[in-house]
Amino acid sequence: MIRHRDRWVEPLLLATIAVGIFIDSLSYPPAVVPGAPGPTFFPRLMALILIACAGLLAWRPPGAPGGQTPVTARRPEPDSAGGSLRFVAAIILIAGFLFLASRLDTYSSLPLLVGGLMAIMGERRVRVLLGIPILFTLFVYVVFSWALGVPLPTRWL
Amino acid sequence: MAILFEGFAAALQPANLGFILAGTALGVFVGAMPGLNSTVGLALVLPITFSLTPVPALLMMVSLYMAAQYGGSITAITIGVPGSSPALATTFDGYPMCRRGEAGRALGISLFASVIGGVIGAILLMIALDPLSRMGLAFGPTESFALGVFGLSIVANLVGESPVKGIVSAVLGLVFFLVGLDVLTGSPRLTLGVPVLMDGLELVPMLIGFFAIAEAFKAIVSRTGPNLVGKIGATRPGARELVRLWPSIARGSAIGGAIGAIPGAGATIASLVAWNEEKRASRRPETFGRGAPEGIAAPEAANNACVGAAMIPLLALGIPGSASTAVLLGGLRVQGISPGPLFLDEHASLVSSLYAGFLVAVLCMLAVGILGIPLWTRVVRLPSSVLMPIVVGISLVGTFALRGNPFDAWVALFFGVIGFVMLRRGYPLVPAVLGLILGPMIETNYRRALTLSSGSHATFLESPISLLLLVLAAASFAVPVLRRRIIQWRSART
Repeated sequence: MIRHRDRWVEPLLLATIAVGIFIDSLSYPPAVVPGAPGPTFFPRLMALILIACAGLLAWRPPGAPGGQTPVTARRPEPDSAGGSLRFVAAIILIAGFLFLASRLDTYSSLPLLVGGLMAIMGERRVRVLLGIPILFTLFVYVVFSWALGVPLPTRWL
Repeated sequence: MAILFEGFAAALQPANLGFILAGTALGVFVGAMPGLNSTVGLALVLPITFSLTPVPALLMMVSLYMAAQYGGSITAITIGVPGSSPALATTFDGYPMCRRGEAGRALGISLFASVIGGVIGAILLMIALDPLSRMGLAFGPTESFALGVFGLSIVANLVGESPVKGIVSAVLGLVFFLVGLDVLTGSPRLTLGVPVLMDGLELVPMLIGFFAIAEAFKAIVSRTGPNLVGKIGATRPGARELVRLWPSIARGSAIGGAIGAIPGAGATIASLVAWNEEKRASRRPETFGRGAPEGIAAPEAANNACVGAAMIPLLALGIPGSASTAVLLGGLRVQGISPGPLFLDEHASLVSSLYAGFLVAVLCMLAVGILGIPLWTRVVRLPSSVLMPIVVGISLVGTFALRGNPFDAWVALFFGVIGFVMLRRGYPLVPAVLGLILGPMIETNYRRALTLSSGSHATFLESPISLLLLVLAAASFAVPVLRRRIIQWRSART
C-alpha cells in the first residue's frame, strides 16, 4: 500500500511544479518583437517537459526496467538507526547557525555549528569536540578576515 | 623566439618570480576553497597591483588565474566538492577515485593535465592570438545558442539507465535559472514576490548545496564518510600512465583552447564538453563516472587551456569573456593599458613577458602542486565525524563570503536538502547543475537569434558553425541512447 502511494509522490510533485510555473508565466509580458519568443516561452516549455516526465514516471514505476540509479547519482549509504532524526537535527543546526551568524556573529556561531554537527555524527571525545571547532574558527578568522579581508557577518569582533 | 627570450628575462627576475609564486600559491588556495574562485582572488590582489609596474602586476594576476583552475580540482577530488565551477567535471571521476583510495593518483593526474593544458593554452595564445580572436567574433547569438545546446547534450551521457530522471533533473536546473529578472524584458519570473529572488540564484551556493551539504547529509544519515580503500598516499601516477593519458590531455586542451577563445563560454563549459567528448571517444565509456583517470585528465587540461585562450579575446579585442578576465581587464586599465586591436603593436614587451610568464607560472604551479599533494591527501584521512562538519562550516562561510549576502547561505542549505532528497530518489545532480549553467546561454541567445531573424528558425541552419554544433549535439544525444538499445538488444538475444 505504501509502495503504491509512494509511486505517485514524484509525478504529483513534478506536475504541481509544472502547474505552478505555468500559472506564474501568465503574468509575464508578451514578446517585444512579433514572431520572436517572449519571456513566457521557456518557462512554459519547461512546464510541458515536466508534465511529460511526470506522466512517464507515473506510467513506469521506479522498480521497472530502466528505473535504476544513474551513473552520476551517488548511491546513498544505508541508513543507520535514527538517520532521519539526525537529518532533521542537522537542518535545524545549520538553519540556527545561519540565523545566528547573520544576526549576531559568524565567529561565535561557527564553533556551535561545527561542534554540534560533530556530536550528531557520533563524536564523543570532549577534547576533540571542543578543540576542533575552536581551531577551525581561528583558521577561518585568520584566512577570511585577517589575510584575505573578505567581509563576513560580524557584530562583536 | 627572440621575443620569448626577452620575456623570460623579464619574468625570471627575482622580484617578478616572487610575484608569480605568490599569485600561484594564492590561486591554488582560492581555487580549492569552496565559495572562493579566481575572480575573488583577482579582486583581492587588484589593490596590490596598483603599486606595481605593468609587468609584475600582469604576471601576478595571470599566475593566480591559472593556478585557481588547478586548485578547484583539489577539493573536487578529495571531498567531492568542486572548489570552483570549472572543477565540476573533475568530481565525476576524481571523487570516485578518492573513494577507491587513489586520491594521490587522481591529484597527480589532475596536476599533470593542468600543467600540460596550461602550456598548450599559452602556446595557443602565442600562435593564434589573431585568428582565434576572429573566430570568437564569429560567435553571435545563433552560434552561442547552438554551443549551449551542444553543452546540454552532455546530459545524455549522464542519465545512465534512467533517462526520465536525468531529464527531470536537467529541467529542474533550467527552471532554477529562470528565477529572477528576465534579462531581455526585465520582468520578474518565478520570484514568488520575494524581493531577494529578483537577483536570481547564484551558481556557487547551488553547487555547494548539491555537492557539499547534500554529501554531508548523506554522511550524517548513514554515519559514514567516504569509504576509502587502501593507502591513500601510496599511489601516484607513474610515467607510463601519464604517457597513456596524453591523448586525453591533448583532446581536452584542444577543446579548452577552442571554447576558451569564445567570449562568454568559459572554463566550466569547456571542461564539461571535454569530459563528455572523452567519454564518447573512450573504448570503455562505462568506466566514466566511476573513477576513470581520463575523466580527470581531459577536463583539467581543458580548464587550464582555457586560461591562455581566454586572454585572446581580452587582449586582441578588449572583450572580457568571463568575470575573471573582466577583473584582469580592470587591472590592465589601472596600469593605463587598454587591450584591443593595437595591443600587440603598442605593448610588445609586455606581451613577451606575458607569454613567458604563463610558462613560468605553469612551472610554479607544478612545484606548488607536487609539494601540496601529500597535504591534500591527508585531508581525506580525517575521520568523517570531523571532516564533514568542517566541510559544512567552510562551505557555509564560503557562501557568506561570495557576495556578503547571507541569503546565499540559505540557498546552499535549500539546495543541500533538495540534493539529498534527489540522491535518495535516484535523480542525478549533475544534469541540474548543467541546466543552471547553460540555461541563460541557451534561452537568451535563442530569443536574441529569433528576434534578429524576425522569428525564422532557419537562422540556426544558415550559420555553418551553428549547424555543425547542432548536428554534433543531435549525435551526442542519440549515440548513448542507441548504444543502450544495442546493448539491451544483444543481451535479450543471448
